[in-house]
Amino acid sequence: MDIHFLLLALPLLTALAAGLFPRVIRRFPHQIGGGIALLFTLAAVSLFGAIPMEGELLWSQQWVPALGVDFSFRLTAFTAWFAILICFLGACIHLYACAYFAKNERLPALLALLGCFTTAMLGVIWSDNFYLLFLFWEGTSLISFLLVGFHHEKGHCRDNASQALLITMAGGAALLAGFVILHQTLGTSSISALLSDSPASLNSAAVILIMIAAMTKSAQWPFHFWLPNAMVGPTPVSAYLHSATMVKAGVFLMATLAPVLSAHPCWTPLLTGAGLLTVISAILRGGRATDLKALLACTTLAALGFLSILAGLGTPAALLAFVIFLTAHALYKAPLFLAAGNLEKRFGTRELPKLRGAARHLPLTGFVVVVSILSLIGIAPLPGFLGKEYLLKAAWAFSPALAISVALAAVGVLALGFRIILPLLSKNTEELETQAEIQLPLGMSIATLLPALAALLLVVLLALPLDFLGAAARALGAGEAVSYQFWHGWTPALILGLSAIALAYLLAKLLMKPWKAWTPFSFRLNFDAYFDALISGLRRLANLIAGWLEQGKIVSHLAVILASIGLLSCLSLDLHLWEKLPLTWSGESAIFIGLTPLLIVSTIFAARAQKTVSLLVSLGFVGLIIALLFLWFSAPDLALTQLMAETLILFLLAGALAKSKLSEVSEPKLFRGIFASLAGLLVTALILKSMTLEWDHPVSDFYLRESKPAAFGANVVNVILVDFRALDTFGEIIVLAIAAMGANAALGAARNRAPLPEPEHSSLLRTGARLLSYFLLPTIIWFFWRGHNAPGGGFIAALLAAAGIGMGLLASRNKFTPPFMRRTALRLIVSGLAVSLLATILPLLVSRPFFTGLWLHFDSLHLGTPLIFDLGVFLTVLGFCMNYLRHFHQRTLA
Amino acid sequence: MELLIALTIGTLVAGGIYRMLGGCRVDMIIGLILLSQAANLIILASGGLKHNAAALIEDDVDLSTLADPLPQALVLTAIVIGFGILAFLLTLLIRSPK
Repeated sequence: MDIHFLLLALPLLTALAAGLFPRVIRRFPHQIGGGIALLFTLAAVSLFGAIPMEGELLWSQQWVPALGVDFSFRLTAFTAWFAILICFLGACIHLYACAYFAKNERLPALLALLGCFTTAMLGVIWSDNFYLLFLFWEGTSLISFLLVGFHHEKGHCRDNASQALLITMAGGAALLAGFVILHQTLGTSSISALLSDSPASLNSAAVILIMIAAMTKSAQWPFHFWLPNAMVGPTPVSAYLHSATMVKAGVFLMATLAPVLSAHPCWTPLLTGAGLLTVISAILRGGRATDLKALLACTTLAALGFLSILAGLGTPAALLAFVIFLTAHALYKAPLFLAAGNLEKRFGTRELPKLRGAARHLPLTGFVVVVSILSLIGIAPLPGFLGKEYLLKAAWAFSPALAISVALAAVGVLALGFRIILPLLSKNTEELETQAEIQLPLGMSIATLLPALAALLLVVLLALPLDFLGAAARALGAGEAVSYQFWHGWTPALILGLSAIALAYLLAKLLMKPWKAWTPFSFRLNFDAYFDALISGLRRLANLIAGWLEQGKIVSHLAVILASIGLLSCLSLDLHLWEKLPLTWSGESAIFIGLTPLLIVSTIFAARAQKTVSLLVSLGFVGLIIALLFLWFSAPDLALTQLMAETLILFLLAGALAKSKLSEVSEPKLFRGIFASLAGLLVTALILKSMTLEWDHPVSDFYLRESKPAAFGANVVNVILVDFRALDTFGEIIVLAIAAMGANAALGAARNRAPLPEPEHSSLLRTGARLLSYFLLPTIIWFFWRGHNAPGGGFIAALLAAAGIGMGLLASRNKFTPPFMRRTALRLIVSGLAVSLLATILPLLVSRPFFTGLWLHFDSLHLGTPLIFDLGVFLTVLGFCMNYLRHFHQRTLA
Repeated sequence: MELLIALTIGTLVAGGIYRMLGGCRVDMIIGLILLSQAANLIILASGGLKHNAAALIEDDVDLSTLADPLPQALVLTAIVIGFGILAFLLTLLIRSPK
């Protein structure tokens, strides 16, 4: 692993430090800024020494191999050079920000964000994996949102930041989709593999999605409008976003993938077209701008347009031009923004008409502005000259028409450059309001000067035979032959460039006076308004849907949910299967045929009952008939459970509904009736369908086969509950215990409630209850004991016991006082859980797996841990029922 | 038999939904009771319905003629858990403000 991959963590560490020690930063902002700048510069210099002139360095660590997500990075001459730019400009920006915000409380937050942002940007350019790149890509979008919205107390800052976020995040989604398609179609998620394989056929959707992603990020037409709006961020942030980061991520992606993707027929026309349109709209927009930063933003847009054209061409010459143009732009745009910040700090305005002659008052800033603008305009030997030269050369090589249109577009951009420089250098300084008392901090001056000096240094470095830019272009896939030189004769490119400068100067001179009306016609396409309309339209649509779905009534929510379930179920209806329905009436007995109409009638009664008594009676009938149906369908255990549970449910319902009246029906009955009938019909149809299907039931067969030999029980249902699937049952009784605790929490512990007075008219009931209880106790034991071999078991015995206690509560209140019930219920629950737990861990003591049944055999009698487990179930369920019985009983009579 | 039981379950579902759409909280709980009864019957029916074939193993019995015990075990726990849920819902009904 190359040591330089560790550089990724460096900005993150500074961010961490900024977050951890905010007080130190507020106390020594200038020193801290200098320190960070030094660190970053050292990183850039050490990277410069380590540019891999040939090939690439890879480092990979598996992350989620099943999804093709790896933690892999790739260092080529180009990505190393780009990282140098990021680190070096990051150094300047940190230094500047510390001086600019020296007195701001939120400087630590800004530094933390800047550090994270730098790491994210380095991650974007170094990632070798699609998904890793996507993560860092989204990271830059998200952090730039926070950076642009740094002054979040202002409304328009928030609006513009969220506009940028929405557009770049939409692009991020497109990027992910494109990468997923590429990964699926090509079988690799590695960028280096994609580049070295050069697949023959490309998925159009993937190519277009990736292009859209890059265009949103790099603010290409028609997504260009977010970038000028993002100017509301603090000056150092703008400088960073525009020079080396964020918007460059998009063109970076274009250029990186260009050698492969430019084979696709859409690539070149779309990107060059979008690039040209971006340049034109930038010129039109910049023509009206008088704000220095806004003008600079427009020149950035134009530069991005040119870069996009170059990436769209994708030829070796274009890629070389891309590298040079990118470098030159980064090195003149950052100092220009920082200089604009200086001017604003010094003169209190960014309006160009009020800044006439400002450069003359601030010699250092003025020097930086002049150097940078000369580079922008493309005066030899500054890097910008080379950039423009190679841009025109590549365009000419592709087609002279393109070169001429690029040159014409360049005229506009250069005129914008003149528009910036001419007033600043103006001798007429009347309108300038000098705020002489404000001194620029040293950090700001140094930070502004550094990148301009770097541009000059680059001129020297380019003159030396180092050829790192050529290596960078070759790493992008530009081939071996590419190299650069300052002078290559009177080429068409040079002539075009020179004439563009001359034309631009004339244009700027001619149209300088009437500032506002520089653009000859008003530009009709207002993308901001379109965007706002789109967003507010989406919001209205969402409100419409939400208002339709959510009418604030639980009934409408339910109806929507049920209707959706119903519609989805309709999809699985298969009417062909009805032919196979066994619609025979043979073997029906009168009992069964009599039971079902009874059930239907009592269901209808229960559904329509308006009085508590009729409701309870009809519900009781429903439960009872279902119990009989269970019995009919060979499920005696279910019948017993159902019978007992129904008894207790009625008891609880009586307690709960005794005081509350069934409210008037609010919904129209017709609607309810139709809705319910449709649902019933659908369910009927689905059940009929399920009955025509035949399937294997290996699990049931296993249980039937093994019940007797392995678990020594003849009642398979009970054996399943306490042995085969005892873990499920264990979970179930824990749920019951929790529900009991929930009732205690909701209804109060009733610790000190006095016993209720003895009812007066109950001698018959009392006597009957006492008599019954003599029978009840043996019956419960019998049911419990026989459970393993015949219908019965812990659940049924417990419900039976609970029903007995319910009867006792009604008959005699002296015995079942609230404190007694409470104590007993809690003890039963706790001991029940403990007993079943014991049954489950006993096998562990003899080194058998958890929940294994241990058995003792006495002739035909088999005793085992499942029996103990069933006892635990019995105790827990009984405790649970008692707990609820006492609450509801007290309520009935209170 | 199949048609009859399917119709019965359909009625239970219809009744439950009719009750649930009634709009008050008690209706919601009653509707849920009816729906859970229907659900229990559906689970049982999905295993195939057999008369006089309880899953009680005696000597010399053909296992394939017995009713499927698995849905029965599921329904048994469903009844108890349904009872638990109902009890808790009723608690909430009592505690919630009018």
